[in-house]
Amino acid sequence: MARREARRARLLGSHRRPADQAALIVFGFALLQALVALALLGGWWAAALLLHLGCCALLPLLRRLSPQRGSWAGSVLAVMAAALPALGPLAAAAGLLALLVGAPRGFDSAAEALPEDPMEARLAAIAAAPDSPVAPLPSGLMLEALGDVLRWGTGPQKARALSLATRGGHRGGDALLHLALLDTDGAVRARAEMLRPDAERRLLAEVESLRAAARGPQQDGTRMLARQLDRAAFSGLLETDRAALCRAEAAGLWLAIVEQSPDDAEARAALGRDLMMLGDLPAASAALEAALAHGVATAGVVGWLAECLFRARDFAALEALVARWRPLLEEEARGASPLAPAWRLWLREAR
Amino acid sequence: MSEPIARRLLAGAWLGPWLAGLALFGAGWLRGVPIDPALAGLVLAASLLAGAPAALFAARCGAVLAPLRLALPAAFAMAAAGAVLWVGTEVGGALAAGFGAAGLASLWIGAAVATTARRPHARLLLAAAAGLGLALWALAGSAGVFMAIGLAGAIHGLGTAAPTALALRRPATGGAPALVGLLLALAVLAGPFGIWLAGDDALAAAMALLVALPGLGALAALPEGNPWRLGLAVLLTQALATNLALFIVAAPVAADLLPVASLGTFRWALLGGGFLPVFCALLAAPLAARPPRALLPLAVLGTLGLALPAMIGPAGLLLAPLAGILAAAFGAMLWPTHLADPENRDAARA
Repeated sequence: MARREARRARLLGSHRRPADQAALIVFGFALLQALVALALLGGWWAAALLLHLGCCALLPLLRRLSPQRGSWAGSVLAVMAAALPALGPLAAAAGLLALLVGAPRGFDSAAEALPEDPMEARLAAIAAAPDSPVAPLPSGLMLEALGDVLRWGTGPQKARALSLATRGGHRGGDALLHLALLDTDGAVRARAEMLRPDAERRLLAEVESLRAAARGPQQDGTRMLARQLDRAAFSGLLETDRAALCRAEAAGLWLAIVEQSPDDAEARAALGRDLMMLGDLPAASAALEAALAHGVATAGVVGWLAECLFRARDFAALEALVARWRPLLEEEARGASPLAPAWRLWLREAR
Repeated sequence: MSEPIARRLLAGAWLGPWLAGLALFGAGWLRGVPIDPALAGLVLAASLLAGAPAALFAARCGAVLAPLRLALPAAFAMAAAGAVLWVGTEVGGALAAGFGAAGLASLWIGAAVATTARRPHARLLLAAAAGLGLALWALAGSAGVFMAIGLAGAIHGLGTAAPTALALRRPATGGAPALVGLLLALAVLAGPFGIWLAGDDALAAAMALLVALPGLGALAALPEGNPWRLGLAVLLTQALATNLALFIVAAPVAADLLPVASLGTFRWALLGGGFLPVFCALLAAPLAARPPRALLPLAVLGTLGLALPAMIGPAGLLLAPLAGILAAAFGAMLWPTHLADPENRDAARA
C-alpha cells in the first residue's frame, strides 16, 4: 500500500510541489504504521513485525525519491524516517502531529533556500547568523552588506535591513540610520524616523558622560568632548536646532584648544568645519586655510574648504585651491568617494 | 553560549529524568495500574544511556538524523532485552518498554538541540502532554503507560529535531556546557546504579535524590546575575529542603515505599543528593564567563565523583557531590591558565 503510495508520489512528483510530495509520503507511512499498531494491539506479533520490516525496507526508496529537505514537510519526513525503525507507529503519529503543528514561528525565513536576489541573500545570511558572543558576525562586514541593501534594495528589503541594523545596538547602526533617513521611500523614512529618537538620546548621553570628564584641567578631556559633540552633530540624527547647539559648543571648545596650542591642526580643521556649518564662512575659510598650512592636507579638509569657498561664491579662490592641490585631488577623483565626481568636474574646469 | 543556556542544560539534565519518572508513575497511578519500579528504572536508564551521548553529539554538531538513527534502536534494544532478561516480562511488555525508552531518547535529543539553539519548545511540550493524555485514554494496562510516555517523547523529540534538520546552516551551538550537562545526565544514573551494583536498595538512593528537585528548579528559574550569588541562593534552598527531608526521613518507610533495612542508604543518599544542585550552580559559575576546553576534565571528574557509590557503597553518595565541588574548583583554577593564552584572552574580551 505504501509502495503504491510511494509510486503515486513519484509519479505525481513532477507536477506537485516537493512539500506536498513529502507530506503525501508521511501520510503513506502513517497509514502503514496504523496497520502495524492494529496488529500490535491484536497481539499478532509476527504480522506486526513483518509489516514493520516491510515499512523499513521502503525507507531506502526515500533517497531515490529525494523529497526536498528545504521544506517543513521534507524535514519532518527525514526525521520521521530516522526514528521509524525504532519507534514505529509512535514515530508516524509524531510525524503527522509535527506536520499539523507546522514549523516553529520565526524559523520559516531561514528555512528556505538562499534567494537568488543578492540583496535578499545578504539579508537572509545576516538574519540566519546567530548573534553568539563567541563568534559574532564581523561588524564591518554586516554594515557594508546592510549599507548596500539600504542603497539599492527595494522598500521591504530596506525595512528589513533597518531592523537588522538596529538589532544589536552597535555603533555602526547610526550611519545606516542616517542613510535610511535620506531614503526616497517614504515608508523607510518613516521607519527610520521612529528609530531616530533612541539614537539621538544615546549620542547625547555619551556627550553628557564626557562633559564631566572635560571639566578637569587636561586638554584631553576637552578634545574628547569636542570630538563627541562633532560626532553627534554630524551624525545627521539630531534635531536641527540641537545639532546647531552641539556645533556651537564644539566650535567654542576647538577655539579654546587653538588658543592654547596654535599649532594644533586637527582643532583648526574641526573648528573650520563647525564654523562653516554655523554659517560664519570667512572665519571658517580662515581656520581651514590655517589647518592646511599646519599640515593637515587631507582630501577631506580640502573638500571642506572648497565647500566653504563655493558657498561664499568665491570661485576664483576655489580654482586657485584646485590648482594648488591638483595631484592630491586627481588621486581623489579617481577613487569612489562621494566628492569624486565634483572633483573631476572642477579639475576639468580649472585646467 | 550564555549562562542561562548552560544553567538550563545543567538543570534539565537532572530534572528531565526525574520528571519523566514522575510522569511514568503518575500515569500508572491515573490508570490504576502498578508500574514495576525495576522496569521504569530500566526504561529511564536505557533512554539516558543511549540518548544522552547522542544528544551531546547532536547539540555539538547540529546534526540530528544520525544521532536519532543510532540512539533510538539502541535504546529500544537495551530496554526490550533488559525487560525480557532481567525483569522477566512477556513480549508485549518488553515491546512497550522498548518504545518508551526510544521515545524518551528522542525527547532528550530534541530537548538538548532546542535548548542550545534557543528555540522555544514549550508549545511542543504541551503537544506532548496532550499526546500522553490521549494515549493513556486509548491504551490499557502498564504497557499502555509505557507506550504513552514513548509517544509523548516522540512528539516532542521529532517536533524539536525537525527544525534542525530543516536548517541549512547547522547551528553548532553546544559547547562545554552541553558536554557537562549531558555527562551529568549520565551521572544521575551513576548513584542509583552504583548502589544497585553494590547490592543495596537502588530505589532508596533514587528516591533520596528527589530532594535535589527544589534547588534544581531554582537553578533553572532564577534570573541572570552573579553566579556565585546564585550558588548561595541554591545552597540555602537546598539546606532547607535537606533539613526538611531529614526531619521526615521515616515517611517513605511508613508509607511502605521502602523497607526499614534500606533506611541507612536513604539517609546517606539524602545528604548527598541535597547538595547536587549546589554542585551544578558551582559548575555554572565558571561556565558563565565562557566555556573553556579545561572544563572537559572537570566534567569527567564530576562524573567519576558521582560514580563513587559503585566503588565504596552508600557513603559514596555523600562524597559524590563533594568530589563534584572539588572538580568545579579545579575548573575555576584552570580558568586563569586558559586566559593566559593570548588567543583565548582576546576571545573572552571580545
